[in-house]
Amino acid sequence: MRSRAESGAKRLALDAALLGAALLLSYLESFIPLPLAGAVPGIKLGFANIAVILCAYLISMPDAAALSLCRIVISAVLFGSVTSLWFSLAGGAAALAVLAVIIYSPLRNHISPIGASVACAAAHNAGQLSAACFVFGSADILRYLPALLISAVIFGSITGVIAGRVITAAGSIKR
Amino acid sequence: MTGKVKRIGGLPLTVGDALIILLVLAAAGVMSAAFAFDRPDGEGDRYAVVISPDGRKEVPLDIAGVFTVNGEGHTLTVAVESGSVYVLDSDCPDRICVSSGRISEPGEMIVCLPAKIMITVETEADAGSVRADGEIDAVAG
Repeated sequence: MRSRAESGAKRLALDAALLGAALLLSYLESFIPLPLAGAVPGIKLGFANIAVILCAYLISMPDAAALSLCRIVISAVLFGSVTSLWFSLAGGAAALAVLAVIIYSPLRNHISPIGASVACAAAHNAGQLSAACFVFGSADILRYLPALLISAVIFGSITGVIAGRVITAAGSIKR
Repeated sequence: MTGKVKRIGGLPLTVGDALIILLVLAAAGVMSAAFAFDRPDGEGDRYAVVISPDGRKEVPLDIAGVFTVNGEGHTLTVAVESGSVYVLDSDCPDRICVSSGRISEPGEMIVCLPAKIMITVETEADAGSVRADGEIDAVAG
């Protein structure tokens, strides 16, 4: 479902709409308190990733990359701090790399948005913790990775199911 | 996605999805095991080790007290009492550090990402298991 045939304006409008959705999802997610937030730093639902996955599957991977980058920067400016920006970028870059591998490889036909979402979530957590290692000069913080990876599977599956349903619904809409 | 992807049974999962999930869980398991072996368990006096943009500071856990730590424009108020250390208050946006509770064993940690502050516990025998080079903001740029 590549969009090469779509006009530039339509694609831009879709990207912009998805960016708005991503920012909104990011904002809404901040209102949902997670029970383990104190014990495990960096645990999050990752709802904004739904928009990125939608973009990657429905539009294109480069669009998804631009979407993710914009979302992270704007979200950090609006809701976060400069420090959190670098950690988010590290996580986002890792997630995009994994997503690109999935989208562009022959594996694409064997992986649904659920698997892609879990992979993105896991990569995001790994990337973010690795950045934290550099910042703190210590590998101790990696001790949180196993717990974060498990949460990536759980929350990634949830966001993946949501993304999958939207993609299925979008596919049945007449263009 | 075309409709040609094979799913497992009645679930919306594909074989590839299941493999990814298993891979991530396996990685989590392997890392857990590796960390369990590396768990410090030395005897001796315990210290709270605070790593901040200003450097590394060690505070003995057997002396009750309160001190502040600064990082990236944020100030954390850290308290030591009854052999444990915890963050009393913080002006960082998330306040995850405050809700992290008390730590008292080596291997436990409290982290404040916005302030770039990390608090761990070390025993004299394991001193040096947490390395800090003081150049905290090399990545932030």
